[in-house]
Amino acid sequence: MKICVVEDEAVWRDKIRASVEKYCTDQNISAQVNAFGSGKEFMENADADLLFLDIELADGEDGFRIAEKLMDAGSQCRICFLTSHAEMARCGYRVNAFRYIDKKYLEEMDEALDAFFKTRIQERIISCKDTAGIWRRIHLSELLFVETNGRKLRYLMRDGREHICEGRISETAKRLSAFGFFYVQRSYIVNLKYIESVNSHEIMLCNGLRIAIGRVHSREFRKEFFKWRMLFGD
Amino acid sequence: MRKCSVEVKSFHAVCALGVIMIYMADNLFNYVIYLFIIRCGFQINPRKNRLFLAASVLTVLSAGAYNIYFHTNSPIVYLCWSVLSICLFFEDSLGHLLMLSAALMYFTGIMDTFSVMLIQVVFIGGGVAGADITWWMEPAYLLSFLVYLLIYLKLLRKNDVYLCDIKLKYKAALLIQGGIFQMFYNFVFYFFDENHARYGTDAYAVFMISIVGAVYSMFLILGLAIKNILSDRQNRELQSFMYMQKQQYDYQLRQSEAVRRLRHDLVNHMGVLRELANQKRTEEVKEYIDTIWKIQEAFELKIHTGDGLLDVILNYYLYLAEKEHIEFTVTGKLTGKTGFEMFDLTTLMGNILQNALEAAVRTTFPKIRVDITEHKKELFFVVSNSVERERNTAKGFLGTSKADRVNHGFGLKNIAAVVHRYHGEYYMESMVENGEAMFKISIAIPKDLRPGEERV
Repeated sequence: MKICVVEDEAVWRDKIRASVEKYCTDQNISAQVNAFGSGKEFMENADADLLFLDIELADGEDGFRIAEKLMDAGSQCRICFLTSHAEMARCGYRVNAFRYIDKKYLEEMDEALDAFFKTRIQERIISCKDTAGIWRRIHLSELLFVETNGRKLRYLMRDGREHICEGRISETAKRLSAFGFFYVQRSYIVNLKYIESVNSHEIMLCNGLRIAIGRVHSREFRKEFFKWRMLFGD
Repeated sequence: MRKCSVEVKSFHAVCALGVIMIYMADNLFNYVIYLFIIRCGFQINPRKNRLFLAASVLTVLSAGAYNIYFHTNSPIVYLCWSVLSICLFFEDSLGHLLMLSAALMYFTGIMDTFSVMLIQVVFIGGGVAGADITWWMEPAYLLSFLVYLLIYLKLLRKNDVYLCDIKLKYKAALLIQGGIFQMFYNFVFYFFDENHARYGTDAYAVFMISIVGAVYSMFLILGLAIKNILSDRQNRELQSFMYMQKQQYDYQLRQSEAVRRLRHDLVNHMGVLRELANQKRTEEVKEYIDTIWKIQEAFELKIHTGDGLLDVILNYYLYLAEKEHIEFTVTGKLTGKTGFEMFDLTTLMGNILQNALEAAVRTTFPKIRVDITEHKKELFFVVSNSVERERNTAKGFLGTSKADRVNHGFGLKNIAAVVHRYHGEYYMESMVENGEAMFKISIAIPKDLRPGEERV
């Protein structure tokens, strides 16, 4: 995980960096924290998962412009803008930011970090034993769905790879439910992240597969999917 | 031979039993119809206590048993059991239940008479004498029940207006109208029956049509009363919108007045500052500037979301919340306007925040939180507020806890209507957060759709 801070004033820069580092040590999260004095410096090697970006930088640099450039380049980076009160009052926010943080209330950063790490909930690996008895490592954010395959489970990955593993679907569903997966019907657990569209009785995954939603789960599913969309976006 | 006579005997016994059982069936059918009308038409809930419910059923059964035993259908017994069983079954004020059961007895009596007449005309062709109840009359209950069911499905449930909402004058009009019709038809029917030979089947056909017409006219009156209520409802909705708008406008007006005053004073302030500067009293200059700074800060819109209209609404409620010492926080920003029509945004956010405010104010640590999230395809609004205690109704709809029921309780319906119009979704939940009871409403609105457009 890479977290970057772009702030021209050294005092703020150090303060913000320190509080990110403190958060990470407190929460036991391994993250690489880098701080930059200017946008130019950061853009030389723009690589971050989460960026704390000052809006008004020295030498006329504009945080919004930097963010736009970053988005245009197709970066998946989440941006938290840092503002001072005068800037807060400005209307119109051109870039869809993750958060706006008032420098006067830096404690808001913890909430932003909480929310950010929540969106990374699928950044983890589970392992399960396949039919040959080999332990397979499955990256949750790449897992499309799990379906029953005879008495085994079939894990289909986004790139088309599949693993046939041991296990019971109800137990797996329970284990995955906290990580954005939903047990839509008897034989399918789907990754909410890869749902392309939903209607009243079925869902369509990004690979075009349609899966009927079990009648009993329908209400619950709508609610869970709603929460997921709200937290993680599209 | 002998066998045959046994069969004849048992046939007689069955007939006798049938004649007796009709009293029981009659009571039961009436009972079911009462329950249906009061539960569905008037939306009155049954009692929670099962003992009362059992006692209610027992009343009906024992009245039936009494009728069977004495081979009678006395009006007094009928009156007693029906009033008693209704009062036992439903949870409402006793006076209201008494009045309701009396009115219902009168009205269902009218409908039964009509139904019996119709059946007599259609199946028997008229000309049956005798006042006793017989089995051929019983399908009349089915007929009148079908009429009630039709009214319930076509008028009440469809418009979400129930008999309890209908004004008393309409209810009275229906009763009187029904009474007049019944008197008239009774008279005509007896006349027909007595002069059976003189009039052919065509007279009965006309009679049947006119009865159906009479029932239809009552149906229409009820429809009219419901229309009346619906327009009233809409009226109130508009009024509350206007009220909200006016409040917000007043707030803006006050703000702009204060700004004008400050501008007017600006010359004086400048004068003072120049004088202070001239005297090189820099500390005092600073202090003075700080004071003015603080004054001007008060005029600024404190919340900026990126949508001007939303800002106006949020800042207004921030102002109200601050007045009531409610903690009011807004997080999140928008990249542009929400795409809501003004009326809809005011209705949506105004109702949500008004509800939140009214609920929060009654708690010890009142707070309201508004979270706005924008994603590529959807906008999310989440408003949570502290509430007195956790509440979660099974119906998925929260009634109002306010005393003035007539003017309240529509807020959530309006919210639901707006969300529906914009093809959105909403969820409400009660929860406990850090030991405090909170109420949360979450709304998702797709960005690419305008109201009225259909999803493809």
